[in-house]
Amino acid sequence: MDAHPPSDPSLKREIKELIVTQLRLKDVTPDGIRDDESLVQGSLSLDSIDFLELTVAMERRYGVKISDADEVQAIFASVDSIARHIARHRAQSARA
Amino acid sequence: MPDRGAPGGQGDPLARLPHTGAARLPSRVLRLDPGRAVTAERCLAAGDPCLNGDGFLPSVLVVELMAQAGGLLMEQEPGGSAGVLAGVRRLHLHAAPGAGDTVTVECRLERRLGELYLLSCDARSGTRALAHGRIHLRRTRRARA
Repeated sequence: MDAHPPSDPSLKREIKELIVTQLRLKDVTPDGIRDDESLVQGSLSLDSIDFLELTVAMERRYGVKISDADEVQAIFASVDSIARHIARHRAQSARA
Repeated sequence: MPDRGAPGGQGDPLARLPHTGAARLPSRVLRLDPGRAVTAERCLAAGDPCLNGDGFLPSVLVVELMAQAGGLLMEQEPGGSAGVLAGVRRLHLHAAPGAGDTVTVECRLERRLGELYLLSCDARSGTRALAHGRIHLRRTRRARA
């Protein structure tokens, strides 16, 4: 069970816009990305270079840190998992 | 002050590149701040083997020049490793250098994540901007005999 509160739809919308704009995806709109869609095996087929670009963009926008390369696959599995990671980071920051 | 070593000497950072002869594109390292930034240059003389039939340095070699210079920002590993150009993003080409130009490239390490490195690179000749963009290098194990 996920101990973290479900992230709000506006955050997921932001993440989808970030994916489309940062990676300059063609023929893809934020509305066309499902929350639970695999970013690797789905229609987007993102790769490790895309994840590195998204990592930098997310760090700048949300202040989240991703330092462990082994975390990357899990964090970028889907929009849902990215949103959970950001929410977790925000919760930790609020407690600190 | 960053040590760049004597050109061609043991302390010359270019000696770390696996490229030799005509395949080694930078001719000199001007500044090396390990893990942060590097500036290198190549002087293009008439008859330079890298110039194309029209007398210009092809853009793909400008990118390769960035990649080789940027590779100097990778940490050295005891077992030996090499970097390969894994990707190019947001590359903007402004002008093509030719004979008589000295191409200076500056690469800054933006982020490393595992074996992947993201660098922002600029190329110029004097004050003339030639290209800028982001490149990705991937560290690979160097095959040992």
